[in-house]
Amino acid sequence: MANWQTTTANLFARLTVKQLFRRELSVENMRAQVAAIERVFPRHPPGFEITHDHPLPHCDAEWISKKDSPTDRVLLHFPGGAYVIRLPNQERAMLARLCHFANARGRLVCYRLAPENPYPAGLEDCVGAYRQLLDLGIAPDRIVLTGISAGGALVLATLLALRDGGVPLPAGAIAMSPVADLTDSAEGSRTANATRDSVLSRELGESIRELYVGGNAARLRHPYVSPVFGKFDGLPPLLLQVGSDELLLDDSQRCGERARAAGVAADVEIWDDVPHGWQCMPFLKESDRALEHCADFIRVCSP
Amino acid sequence: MNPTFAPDRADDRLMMTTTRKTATKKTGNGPRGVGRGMRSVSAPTPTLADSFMLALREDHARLSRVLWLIDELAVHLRTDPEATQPVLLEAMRYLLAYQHTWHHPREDRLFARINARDSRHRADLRALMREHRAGLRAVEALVQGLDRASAAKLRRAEGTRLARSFTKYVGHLREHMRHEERVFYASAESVLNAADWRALAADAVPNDPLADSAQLTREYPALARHLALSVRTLSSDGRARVDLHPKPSRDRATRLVELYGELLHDGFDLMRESVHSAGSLRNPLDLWRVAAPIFVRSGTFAMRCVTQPAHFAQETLQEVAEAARSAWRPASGKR
Repeated sequence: MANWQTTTANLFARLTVKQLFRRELSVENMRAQVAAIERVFPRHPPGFEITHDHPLPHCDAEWISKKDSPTDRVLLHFPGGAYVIRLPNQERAMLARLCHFANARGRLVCYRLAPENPYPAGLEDCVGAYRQLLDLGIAPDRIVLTGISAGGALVLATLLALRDGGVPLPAGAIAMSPVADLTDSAEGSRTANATRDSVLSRELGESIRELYVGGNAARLRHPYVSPVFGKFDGLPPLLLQVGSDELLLDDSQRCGERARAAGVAADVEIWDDVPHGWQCMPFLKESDRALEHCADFIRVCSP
Repeated sequence: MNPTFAPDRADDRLMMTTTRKTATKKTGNGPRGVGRGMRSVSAPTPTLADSFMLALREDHARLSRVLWLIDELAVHLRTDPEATQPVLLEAMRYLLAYQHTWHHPREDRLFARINARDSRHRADLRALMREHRAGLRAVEALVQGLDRASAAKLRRAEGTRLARSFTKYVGHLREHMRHEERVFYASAESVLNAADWRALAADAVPNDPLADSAQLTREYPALARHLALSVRTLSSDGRARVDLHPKPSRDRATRLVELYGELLHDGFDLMRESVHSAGSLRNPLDLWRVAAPIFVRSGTFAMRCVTQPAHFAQETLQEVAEAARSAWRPASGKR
């Protein structure tokens, strides 16, 4: 049984965000609506410095660091937004809180979005952002990848791509409710939680997957698009967090199982009754708790 | 990839903080001596400071792992005390036996040396050392309280009170650890000289049981078992269950909320479009051209507001009737 804050957040999300995503909106309209939601969140998290040093060639990226807080841990964060939209203020605020809890610096990578830039543009940006950190002299075992929703899937895809490319892997990775299976199989949590999920709907899934792969359905089973079909051998420790009522519950569980089968230390945390992306909702008790758990994991991976 | 990290066992997960540090930028000084028995850094080398600080950071990593677990278990104390109490007790006893007995005194010695070299942080250092002592008292009180409480007691207010105390302790310790890492770990390496590091490194410290899977399983079996779990269910009240089976009444209520949510959004859209159309009215002769579509759309929407909830109610009644019939059938069959 969730507390009243979480119940209210679920109700509010069900009446607003889920309805919004279910309606036949163009990507431009969806972005405009999301921009309105974004105004609720401050552009600049208090107590943090945001700099735009070390630009990336194809996308925006920024550093988020706590003032007067020297640290050599870096969290490379890929935001969510179903590959087509973005909530930078919300993600920045969440990353700032995580940086505070984990005593780390954050690198927010605003990878290119579909449909203008379908797969593999976004993944290339994420891989490029990681390689840039190595080029800057940051040791791989001081880097932890984090991502939420579509960003969570990009975390897993980036790890697979880095491993395949023989690049030294980061100390660990955190995927929060990753969209790890874009084939959207009609079973398990995809159907059982279709009504219960207060944010995502299957209608949204059907439209974004087409946009992300640029209409090339054959790519949907590629491990870089749907990491759940990938081989997880040799990956660093993983933490997967997901809500018990999410459509995407199975994605995290299946990734966890595959990772463990491949000998990777993978923890799956299933949080009861929370809405998709609850880590970004600072007014929920579970949000801070989940981020504190992420911080514990980061400290374990990168002491 | 990380060649030293292997696998799907808690032992390995726990070991990772000691085995994988070989090539950090900050601590590029080879692996720390973590053999059995007493541990100490033998020769004064230029990397002594790094070794010492790495050892403290690795202690923090393992402490984080335990705090993560305590935070997760505390909410289950009242709902499932039989399973939770032994693990929590072992976790707290571990904190007493290693973190409070060896790690904190080691930090205290470091802080004392920083204080002697640089008095700028005197007040903060004293506060941190005070927190070490207060933390020790808090753990002792928690162990005592938890040890004495029966399962029946834990199911009542005592369980809630203790769970809150655990959560509070975890919060304090995390904040304390962050404070240490942010300020003092950073300044220690610039303030202390080689003689300080030699003196600090000369103090022998036993192995952390969490860094040695065999020792952990031997000394803290319940803790070791729990740390080996790979899937954890968390909630705010300790009653979390992952259940994908249909829950008809809850799902019906959710569908009703979504139905009204959809109508609400359609109503807003209709209102917006109507205002927009009315705004385009320039000539009274255009009134019919503008008003007619608004009337038609409003009428359709009003009909939906009546028919859709009615349709939902009808469906619900059918489902309830069907459920009642299937509940009655086995009973009548027995007769």
